[in-house]
Amino acid sequence: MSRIDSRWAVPATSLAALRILIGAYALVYTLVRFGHVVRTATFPVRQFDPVGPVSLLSQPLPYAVVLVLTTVTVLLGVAFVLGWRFRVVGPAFAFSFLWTLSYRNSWSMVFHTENLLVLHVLVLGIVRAADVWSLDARGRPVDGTARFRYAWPILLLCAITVTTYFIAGYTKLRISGLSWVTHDALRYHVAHDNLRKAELGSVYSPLGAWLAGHAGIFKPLAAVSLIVEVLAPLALLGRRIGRAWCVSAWAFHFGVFAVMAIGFHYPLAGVAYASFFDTARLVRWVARKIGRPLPEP
Amino acid sequence: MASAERWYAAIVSTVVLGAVLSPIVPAEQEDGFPLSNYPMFSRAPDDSRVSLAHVVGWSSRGEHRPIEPGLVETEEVMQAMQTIKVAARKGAAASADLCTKTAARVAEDDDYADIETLEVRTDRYDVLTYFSEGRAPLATQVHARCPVLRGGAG
Repeated sequence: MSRIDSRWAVPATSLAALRILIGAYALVYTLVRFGHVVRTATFPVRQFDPVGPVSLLSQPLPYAVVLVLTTVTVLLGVAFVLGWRFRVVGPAFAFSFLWTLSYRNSWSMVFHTENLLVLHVLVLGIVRAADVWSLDARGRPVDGTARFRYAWPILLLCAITVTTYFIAGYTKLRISGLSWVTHDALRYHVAHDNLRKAELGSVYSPLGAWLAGHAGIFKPLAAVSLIVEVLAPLALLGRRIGRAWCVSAWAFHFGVFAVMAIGFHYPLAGVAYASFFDTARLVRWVARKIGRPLPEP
Repeated sequence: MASAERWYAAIVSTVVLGAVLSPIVPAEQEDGFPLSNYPMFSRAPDDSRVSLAHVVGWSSRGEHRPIEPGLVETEEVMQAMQTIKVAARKGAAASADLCTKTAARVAEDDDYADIETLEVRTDRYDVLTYFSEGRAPLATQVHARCPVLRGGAG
């Protein structure tokens, strides 16, 4: 075990940086979606199709309750990022964020762009992510010792990330087999997605609409995207291969955005892959830039 | 690291990864939130024709165009699509209700000042020829039709 401890060990700042970065992303996302979440309370009851913990409800919540719960999520999010009373606030924000986004997804439409963000916040909320760079740690010296206790949650975040990609690829193979590549499924989906956006009066991708007329390019693109998904677990084999996979996964999402106008915001912002990189350096740099340098060991 | 912490790490990691992986078992709940098997775009279709429920506005000159998602209860396009689909599936009353509520919002939007009538309808298209050979639907089913009533009208 001591060998594992020394092989897989990072300082507390590495995990704290992920709490700050991913927590801040979740907080800003809740604020951006605030109006939409609250407006769901005005949707017709016929659309209510609860998912996740919201499945406990048989009826939608009243408007006032949705408003209060979403506001509480925002306040807990602020405390989560600041690392205030984290033993309570960590799990509380993780669950309230899960609840809020589950509620938003309980209206006949699951937004798959949010799953990974929620899973990451759930993990960060139940680990020692506020031992440094937090209000809880104010006045205490920063311990710079690398420890396994701060590394395993980061490994878990990486494992969750690659698992979600693997599942997406596995599902394509299970449902369609290799015909997903050989039968031009990607061309069909690109054309279909742009068609429905055009006919729903929304923004669609002119590039995707144009490419839909060119059958030849979609089979290689489909093969590459399936490889990125199915082989994602290989990213856990080492730092370099992990980072190389992150770049290819990001490029995959950029391609999806370019040809389908679907923005997987969390990966596109790069935050979904933060656990594969030295996020503490980034957080230190930002803190210096805004004139609030963080304490060092 | 203390033994209790090691156990905590092992249990949390096992439970979380097990949960994340669970939707790959076909018998289990597959798509959901936050656990999902991400089924979107996973099917290789054998037919390029699709049906789409949407709201279409008609002007007095007989021109038509789709009504944007923000006027159909939500600014989220996929959510709007589901809203219309559910209303169409629920029948004439639900479709008429959606039509009337959307018409009230359209009436207050200057961008749609020329629109006089709305239709909640399901159109059938060929996805592979839609952008290259014309956007006319192959078939149409109208679920509800309603007027856009503006100040002083009706």
